[in-house]
Amino acid sequence: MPQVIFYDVNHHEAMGLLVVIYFFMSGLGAGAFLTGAAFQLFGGPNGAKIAKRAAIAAPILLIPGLLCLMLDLGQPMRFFNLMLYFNVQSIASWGVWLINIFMGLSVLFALLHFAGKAKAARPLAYLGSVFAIAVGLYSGMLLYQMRGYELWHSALVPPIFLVSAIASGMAVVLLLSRGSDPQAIRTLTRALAVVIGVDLVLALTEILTLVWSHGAKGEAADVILSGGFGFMFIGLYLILGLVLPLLLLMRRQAGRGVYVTIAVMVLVGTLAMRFVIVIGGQAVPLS
Amino acid sequence: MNERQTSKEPRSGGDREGLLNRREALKAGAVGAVGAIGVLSGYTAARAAVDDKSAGQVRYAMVIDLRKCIGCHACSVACKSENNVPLGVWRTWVKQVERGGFPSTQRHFLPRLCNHCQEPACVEACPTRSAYQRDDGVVLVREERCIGCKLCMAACPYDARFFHPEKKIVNKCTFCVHRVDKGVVPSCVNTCQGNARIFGDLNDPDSDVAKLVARESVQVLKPELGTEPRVFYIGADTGTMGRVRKEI
Ligand code: SF4
Ligand code: SF4
Ligand code: SF4
Repeated sequence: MPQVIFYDVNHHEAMGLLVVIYFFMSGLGAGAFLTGAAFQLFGGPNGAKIAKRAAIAAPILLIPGLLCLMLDLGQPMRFFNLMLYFNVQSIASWGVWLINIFMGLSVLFALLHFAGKAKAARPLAYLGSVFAIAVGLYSGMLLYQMRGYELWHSALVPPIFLVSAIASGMAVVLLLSRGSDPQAIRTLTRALAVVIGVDLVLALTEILTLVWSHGAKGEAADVILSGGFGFMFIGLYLILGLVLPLLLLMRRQAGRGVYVTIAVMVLVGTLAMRFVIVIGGQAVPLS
Repeated sequence: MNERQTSKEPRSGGDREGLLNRREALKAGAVGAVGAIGVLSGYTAARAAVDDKSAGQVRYAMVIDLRKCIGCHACSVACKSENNVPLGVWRTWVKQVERGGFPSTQRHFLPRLCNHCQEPACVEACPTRSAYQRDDGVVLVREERCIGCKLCMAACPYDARFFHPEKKIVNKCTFCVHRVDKGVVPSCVNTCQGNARIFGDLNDPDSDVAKLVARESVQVLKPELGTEPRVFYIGADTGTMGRVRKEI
């Protein structure tokens, strides 16, 4: 029997472009920090230059993201209420503190590197990495808590957000790596290939589980696999952002131009993915 | 035999070190486990405190009897004027679905509003505890504290919340507590043409809502999500309650 909705109310989206940019930028900050910390701790003298640039980039990427989050509030001047009140059950409440602490640590880390006191920053590299991972995971957890939206309410969303945060952070560091030690750059690109591979596996798993689902989950699959969202998810994220960079990274010899191309592709892909999950996730009506 | 010996007196220093390391690792593991249990039990206690909604006191609820609803939208209009709800957003509305082709057609109504859930997803998600639940079950927003982050909107699986375009905070159905607290029923109930909307105390066995819930087979929206809505429907069309597809 044909069936039509004669009248219903669908209220506007809860999360818009500013939230997408916030997720993207905070992911970049966390990823850049992790890359910098890894190069400082395990990269030896060859990695010092990359570590320094990554460390300085992290807070510079993070802070505009936090500003976007503040601007997204209906009452930006009341943002301090986030610190005054705490709700144990709210992922966002935990996230506020995670990101505050991470911001503090990353600023300190950057300042120490800037002042040339990289040695003193070693303990910070460990501690900050824990918070960077937590920040990368929490944005996905935040979405997971919203049980009405099928695209968000998946256990794979937090790891996908974390892994793509790391990949995009590495891409930024790759962009900034001009003139550093070729050995260190090679290490960076190898690690990037591994992270992109993991991201690809997670993304494909998520797509397949959605495709084999029914009801609202099945409709969510239609959203991300067709139309404009489909173009962004398949074309920009999966192909341009994951598969092509992976293929390019497999070449034995690559010049600066190739690295820049790879980095830009990964960044575009990550942004497109965040957009599709956040905005497209709200495209299946709740009633 | 051999095994016992080695465990009693290690043959070499290296072995002893290994033993110590294992013991230390075990200890660290135990400390970690205790820490985790501490955090978890703290969380459980906090949850229990949140969950403890004192029984035996008033619990407001609504029953919407669709055998009596005529789809007149008077409830939506009454709510709009009672609560000054801005254009484009709604605290209550009447979803309508048409099915079939001429001459065998049906039209179903489903008045919608906040379910004043027993386990409200919105309250769970709010980072500032601006979204809260009164002891009588009514779910409200602390307007002076709300930062307008819209996370509660995202968390509510019923689209019951909206961003108030003038107040710049999130707004929703209040069960007309400003009326209810003075002993008057909500505006939509007061205005309902067919007496389809019934409001009262679910914990009072003599109230109309308690009697209807006890006697009739009632339905709630999306029971699988665990929100435990306290707006009950009688005789709702299941196709209209769910997300409507073009064909059934
Ligand atoms: S219907 Fe939505 S807004 Fe109302 S109490 Fe339930 S979760 Fe909260
Ligand atoms: S918009 Fe207001 S009520 Fe909703 S989650 Fe944010 S602070 Fe809480
Ligand atoms: S006022 Fe009563 S009869 Fe009219 S649409 Fe609302 S619930 Fe139905």
